[in-house]
Amino acid sequence: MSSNKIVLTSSDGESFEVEEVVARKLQIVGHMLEDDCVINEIPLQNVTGDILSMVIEYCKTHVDEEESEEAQTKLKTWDEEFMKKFDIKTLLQIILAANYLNVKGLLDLVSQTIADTIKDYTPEQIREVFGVENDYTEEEEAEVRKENAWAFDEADTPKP
Amino acid sequence: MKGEEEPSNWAELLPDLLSSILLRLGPLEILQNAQKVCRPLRRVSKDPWIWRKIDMRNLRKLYCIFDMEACCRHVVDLSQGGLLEINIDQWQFENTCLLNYIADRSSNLRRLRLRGGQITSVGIFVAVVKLPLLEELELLHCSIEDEHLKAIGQSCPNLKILKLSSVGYRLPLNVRDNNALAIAETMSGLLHLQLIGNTLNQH
Repeated sequence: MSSNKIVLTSSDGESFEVEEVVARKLQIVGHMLEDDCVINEIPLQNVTGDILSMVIEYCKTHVDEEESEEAQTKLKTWDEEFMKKFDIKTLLQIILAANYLNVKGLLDLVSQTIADTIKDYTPEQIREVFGVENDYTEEEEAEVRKENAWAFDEADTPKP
Repeated sequence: MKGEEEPSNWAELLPDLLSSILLRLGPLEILQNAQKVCRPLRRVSKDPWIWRKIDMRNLRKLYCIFDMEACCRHVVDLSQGGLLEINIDQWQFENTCLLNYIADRSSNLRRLRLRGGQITSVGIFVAVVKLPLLEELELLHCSIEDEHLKAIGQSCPNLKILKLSSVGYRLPLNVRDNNALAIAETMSGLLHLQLIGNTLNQH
């Protein structure tokens, strides 16, 4: 592969010069390059510079994904360490960026990290971490209880 | 803990992203926790897409607070016929009914893994022959008779992986028969075969 440089520009005007092979890990960029191979500067409107820099860091590390077990283990360890750097709010922004830029590996990695984080949380704890309100109506809550009647504590609650 | 004016929060994530996260949670984590958080999560929790692969293993400690059989039915209902993989173990009840319930509603099933329980050979047979697309069948600590195994081979022409491990000394000897010939007779497409604890003849 050629070592062409591509400039990626974030929504807040920050520019990153990266090798073409790295830029192609962002599938959105890959498609643009296929459509017109003379582009060397690409504006990415839905992602800010700080988040884009993290996506690029991921793509640089994953640029040649070797099949060997040793390389895979090394990458896995790197992924784990990489994810530890971020709080949940940042993870949510990274997952949105990974989706927009179409970086499948990063999307999977962040989804897994978020799932691992919330796996043992109660609904209340999940709301707190993600800053969302309970928008259920009483009827909807009753519906969930009815569906989950196999949970004995819920079946025990008196029904109207 | 809540930031001022965060540009994105959990509830604003696209349904596809919520699915991507929920796919990585266990069934009870979704039904008991995630879906109760807010409406967007509830909507995604009901999408059959996230119920294509169900892992109900290692839930034994929850038997006292959940009716696991009813829970499993609920999960199968949520899959709306799209179930591709199910993995269940350590049932403390006679689970022929449940297995039939799954088989009757999951004609797309590709992989079935069962472990333990008091399920009979005929119980397994009656259910599994309803799964024509099955590619992988794993029966751990179950026992199955030759004639049933043969019929399964005929009904599931796509079967590629078969793993059997018998219950060993806990069953009468006549049940621990030699399954190998039955397998050879009807399952020509097998790529992987594992027999543990089955008594093989020298022929």
